[in-house]
Amino acid sequence: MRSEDHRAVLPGERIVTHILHFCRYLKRQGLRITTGRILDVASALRAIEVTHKQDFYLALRCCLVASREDIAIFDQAFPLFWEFTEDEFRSPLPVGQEGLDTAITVQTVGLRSEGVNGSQWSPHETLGRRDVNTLSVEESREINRLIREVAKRIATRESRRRKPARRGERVHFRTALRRSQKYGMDLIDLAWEKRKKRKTHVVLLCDVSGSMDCYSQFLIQFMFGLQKELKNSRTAVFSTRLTNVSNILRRKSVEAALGEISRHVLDWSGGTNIGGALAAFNRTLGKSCVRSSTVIIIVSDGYDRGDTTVLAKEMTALRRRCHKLIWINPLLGTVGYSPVAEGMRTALPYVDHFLPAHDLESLRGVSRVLQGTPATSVRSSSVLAKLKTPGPSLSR
Amino acid sequence: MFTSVEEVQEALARESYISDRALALTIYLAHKLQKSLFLEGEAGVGKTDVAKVLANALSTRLIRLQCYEGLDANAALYEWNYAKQILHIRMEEGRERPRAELEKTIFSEEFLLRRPLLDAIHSGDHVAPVLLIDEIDRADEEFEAFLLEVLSDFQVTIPEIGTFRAKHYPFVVLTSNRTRDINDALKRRCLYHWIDYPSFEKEQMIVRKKVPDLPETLTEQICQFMQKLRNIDFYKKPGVAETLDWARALAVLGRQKLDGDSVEETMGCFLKYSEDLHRLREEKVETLLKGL
Repeated sequence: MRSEDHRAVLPGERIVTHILHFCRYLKRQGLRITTGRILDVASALRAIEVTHKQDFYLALRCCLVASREDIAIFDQAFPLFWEFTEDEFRSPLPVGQEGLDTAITVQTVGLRSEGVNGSQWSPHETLGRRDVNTLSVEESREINRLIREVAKRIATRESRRRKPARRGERVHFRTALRRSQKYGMDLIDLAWEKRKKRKTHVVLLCDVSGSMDCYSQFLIQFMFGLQKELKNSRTAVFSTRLTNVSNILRRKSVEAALGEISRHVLDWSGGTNIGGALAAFNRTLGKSCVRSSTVIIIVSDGYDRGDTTVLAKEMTALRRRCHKLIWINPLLGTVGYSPVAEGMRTALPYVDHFLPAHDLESLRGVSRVLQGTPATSVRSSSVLAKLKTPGPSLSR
Repeated sequence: MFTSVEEVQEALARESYISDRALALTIYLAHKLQKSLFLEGEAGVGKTDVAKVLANALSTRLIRLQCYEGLDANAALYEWNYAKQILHIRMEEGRERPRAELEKTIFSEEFLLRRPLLDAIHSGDHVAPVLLIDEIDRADEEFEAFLLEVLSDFQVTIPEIGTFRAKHYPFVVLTSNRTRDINDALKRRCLYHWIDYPSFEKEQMIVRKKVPDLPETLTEQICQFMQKLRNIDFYKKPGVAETLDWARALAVLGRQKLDGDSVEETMGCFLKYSEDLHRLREEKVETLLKGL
């Protein structure tokens, strides 16, 4: 459609077909376009002056878009379908370059270069693909079962809502009064209510750097299991960059998901920069998915090449906003291990539960701990005491 | 009833709300197509104010439902005043009234606590009210499902009394701070608009309108300073509300221009976290003030 056409009256059929094509394109780009929305567009166009270009753009946008990221995709697609000259079409919303990038590219967030002296974080950042061999069927099944248990324990907590119950802590007045009708409005048969249990929101951050290579089988299993069990959870992997893989993990087939992960996570088996990754997380995903009810699970060995002050600062920020912080360290199960690595020591004071989980046995342990058996849990304070050296200052 | 986009813009301007054509058009379309308005944006950019301003512009009531986690139908729709009911029963005990009459009295409107949503549906107003559902992202998914039901038909059935239907569908404005994603079905009932931090010119107009007794140079300096601040990576970036607080504070203190001391003294007006204050000091206020 040429821009001159917009000055003349547009033939109704052509514009409708073009809009349908536009909507179909947007749907492919990831926007949620439904028939209802398309009908809204039609009604909206009847209400405005179609030949007024900016109004046309705005009307389409407010009907088809559902979030800020969608706006970026919409703005990129609009000029492809509706030709305006440069000065005629100017997005009234100054969507920054970063907004566009986040929306268009796969959700990979690179680290900002401030705080780094310009050079590469690690000489080991590899750009290779990752090949993962699957576990034996038995082990897989057992691990899946344990993961489901773990997920259930982590993710239930009390809600502020109440539901009717046989025995509870409070009287459920409505039902009690109803029942009292048959006793002449005397409260004889009381009804009770108790708090509902609800699923907490879980965010899983997995370290996939070189040092965690030997646990990668387990990690992948864990990520999958958790994501399948807790549908609202989010998962991200990091080594030198942070990549959000939640959408990929939701695929039904494990192979398809693995293939996509290996395509999108470019730094698998690279070096480690936990502080930087957490900074990137706090700045992007963290803003939209960490709430006061979120449980954050970090799976990492703590070997970190990054700046520990950055790590401390980001851990503070993270801990303040979430409900619980669980750190799963595969090395913890090894005899004679104590967290002397700087990264681990810096992070430890901010962690609520410090747990090992490198194989089936340790997973059972995780499950037990979360059930509340103190003997098997490794609380951070006791670990620090063992070290007998002053750790970083607690600034909660 | 708004008849054109320009009318919406004029109405907003009359209420001292500076907006761009995008917001005005979205409001106009939402009104015309009888859809809800979904406003998303950072904290303090004026989302809640849109509803207030619209209520004034349409000369109608504003009904506000503030969302929080655990908000349920009882707190949002209606609840029976149990205490009053029990007291009434006790007081009637000696009187030997027939049971049926007692029941009818107990479950009458006198003993019904009307909450915002019921108020919006059955208001008895002649003009449709504006229903503001503020910070919907703080409520949970169960509430969203419940809200979706209510917003679809604007009809409520109270078993003991009957069905209430809205004579005039209220104009619904939902706001969200984007702390979590809202259910898609709810969004589909709405027209979406993102309110961003204002540009320098827009913010200047806002400050001029709301704090008119501030000297022009100071207004300009405040707005330029704010634009610079929003490029810094604070834990919580200051919004327009903070700009206005700061402007009013400086007006009260009688300042004529912006200098290091003034900023130091009034920092708490636009930064509310100690880490952010620390960060600002790190950035060296003097460098920020240069070139204003």
